[in-house]
Amino acid sequence: MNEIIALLQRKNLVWHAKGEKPINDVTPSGYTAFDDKLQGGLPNIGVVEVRTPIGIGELRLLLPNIMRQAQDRLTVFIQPPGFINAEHMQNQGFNLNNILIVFPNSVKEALWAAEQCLKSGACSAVLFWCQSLEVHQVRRFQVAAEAGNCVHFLLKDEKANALSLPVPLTIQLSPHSCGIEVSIPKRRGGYPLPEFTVDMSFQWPALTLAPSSNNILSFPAAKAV
Amino acid sequence: MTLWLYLHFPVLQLDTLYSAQQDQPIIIVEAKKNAIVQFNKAAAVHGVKLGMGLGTASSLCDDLHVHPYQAAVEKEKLLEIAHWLYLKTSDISFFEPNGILLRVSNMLTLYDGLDNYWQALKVHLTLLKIHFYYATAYSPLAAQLLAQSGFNQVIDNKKTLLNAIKQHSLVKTTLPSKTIEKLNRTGVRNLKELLNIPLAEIAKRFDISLVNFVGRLTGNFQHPVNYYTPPVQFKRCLQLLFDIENAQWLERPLNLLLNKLESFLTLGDKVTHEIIITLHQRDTPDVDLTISSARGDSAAKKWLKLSSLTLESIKIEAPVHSITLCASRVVARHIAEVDLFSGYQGNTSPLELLSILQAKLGKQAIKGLAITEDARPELSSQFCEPLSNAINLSLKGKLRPSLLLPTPQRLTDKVSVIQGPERIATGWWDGQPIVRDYFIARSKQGRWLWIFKDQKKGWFLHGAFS
Repeated sequence: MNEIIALLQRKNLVWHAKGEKPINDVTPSGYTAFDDKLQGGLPNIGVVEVRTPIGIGELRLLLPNIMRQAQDRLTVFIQPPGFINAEHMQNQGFNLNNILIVFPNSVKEALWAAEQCLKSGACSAVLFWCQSLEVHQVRRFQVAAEAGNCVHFLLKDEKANALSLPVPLTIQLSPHSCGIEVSIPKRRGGYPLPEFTVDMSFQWPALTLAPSSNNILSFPAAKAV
Repeated sequence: MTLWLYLHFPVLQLDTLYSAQQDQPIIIVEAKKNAIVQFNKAAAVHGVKLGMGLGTASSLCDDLHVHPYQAAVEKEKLLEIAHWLYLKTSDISFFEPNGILLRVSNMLTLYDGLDNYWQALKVHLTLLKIHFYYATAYSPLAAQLLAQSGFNQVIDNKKTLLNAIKQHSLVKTTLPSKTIEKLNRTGVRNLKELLNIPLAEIAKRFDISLVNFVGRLTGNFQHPVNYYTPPVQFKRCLQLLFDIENAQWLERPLNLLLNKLESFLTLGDKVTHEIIITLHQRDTPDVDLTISSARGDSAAKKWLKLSSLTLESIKIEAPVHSITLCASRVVARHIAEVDLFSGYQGNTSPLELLSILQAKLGKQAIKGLAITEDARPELSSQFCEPLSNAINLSLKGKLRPSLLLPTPQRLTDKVSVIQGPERIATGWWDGQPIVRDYFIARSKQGRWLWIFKDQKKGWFLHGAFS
């Protein structure tokens, strides 16, 4: 019996409430505050649920991490809410030849494509924008991601479904003037974390507001200038 | 020594023309030189000769049909002839624009003698209804020379052949006119006199190209030739014992065909990039399904997987009574090198994954990203053929949003401008000019937007810094 427990512990499948051991299979996200809270970074394998509005900096938070994991494998974007901009991806250091963008015709096809990419082993990350998912679909994604050694980011609207999904990590994002506000409602091997701010002013000086400045011009005023 | 047979087609382009009336004089004129290169019998009756100008020819004959000389047509016809001859003989080489060289020696065992071989070949060739001259010799050059002069004999007597060659003047050969002139000055006017000079003497007095020519003419030197190999094709039809109305049930008979394809491809160590499945339906037109694999596969299992993805999405309108399978792009197998130390490798390669996705979702659903030098944001970032291995320009440095809207939309949210403007005024040369001032803005909800103001002071949303 003890042997089984030892094995489970070694594989990080048992969580002891008293101690927070660092998880091995993680890659730093490039944002120190974020990495510290996540005990090292985002997982390399498995499903990560990201509840976020679009356009607050969610991709800027995730892409450095995806970039580090890529290692010449593919990064797949499935039904993104706009056209992925090649210039941005190149600025982030991606090899454009390793990017696939999939525009499926139906929800069913989108789910199928995501699973194929996950289990193929040819992809290092699959980003999937979706509205709502069933529990069994997420479970299939998790199995496929483990088979293909791949990380699966499920990006969805924060309101989409409050239902808890069987994922190892859920990240909730909300806008913040100096970067992005993150809370972690659910994670494997740790307590849920309340809101904390990831400061992006170093990486994205143009896309953050100085904490105490009053230099924001309201829209009509800007027009006048 | 190897025996060669040369076939010379003097009026190849004329033979490709379809003319209903035989008695119509037709000439083919090379436009650059303004010289007649080919003409038919009817034209010859009027006195038309080779090398004549178009003006002279038309003054000899009033209802002359004139066609321009096209080397491409002859080349195509030559390929067709070679393909046809391949059924009877193995080693075929092109002598463009209008000659074909055959290696005879290694066919003689099969046909039991030169005469039988030539009989078989001649009967086969006359079916094409083209004019040809022919000659055998112990070197490609000699065979060419004899055939072009209309020798029209298939013999293997060395002495006779050599005598026949010796009668020709130097002008008929492929030697450059400069060399011929040089030889004429030394009193050498025909091949007999040239061949009488020992090779060592020629080497001493003339340049190496003449030595090579003489060596190749006598067959003492190797004459390198490239042999024609016909393109590999696979086409099999399977008649079904009973009509099939359900697309899913087609997989079993299809598997039989795919197994045949696999054994065919394995024999030649080839793969195919595309197969075409034709479903012959009762009383309705045939349906062609094109299934492609980006990586190229030979295994029936892989092709069956890809075809079943396509079969899922089609609907059969009428019962299918037979299936035809055709492999269209057959190429040599390319072995993908996998480095043991290059990190994790999945069991599916990126190209395989791409084929699977394309088979199910359609080619238009999968895109790759490419960058162009255009300053217009919507043209700078473009979709391209996925996994194309293109070399992309490096245009680092500009702050650009990660998500772009397919087309700019009128700005409706209340936003505050944080940075800008960045003016982009370009595109005046191709009819899609833009003059826009781009700003980075933050909406009330905290979204970082890329907005622009056009010349008419309208505000538009173009992207988001996701």
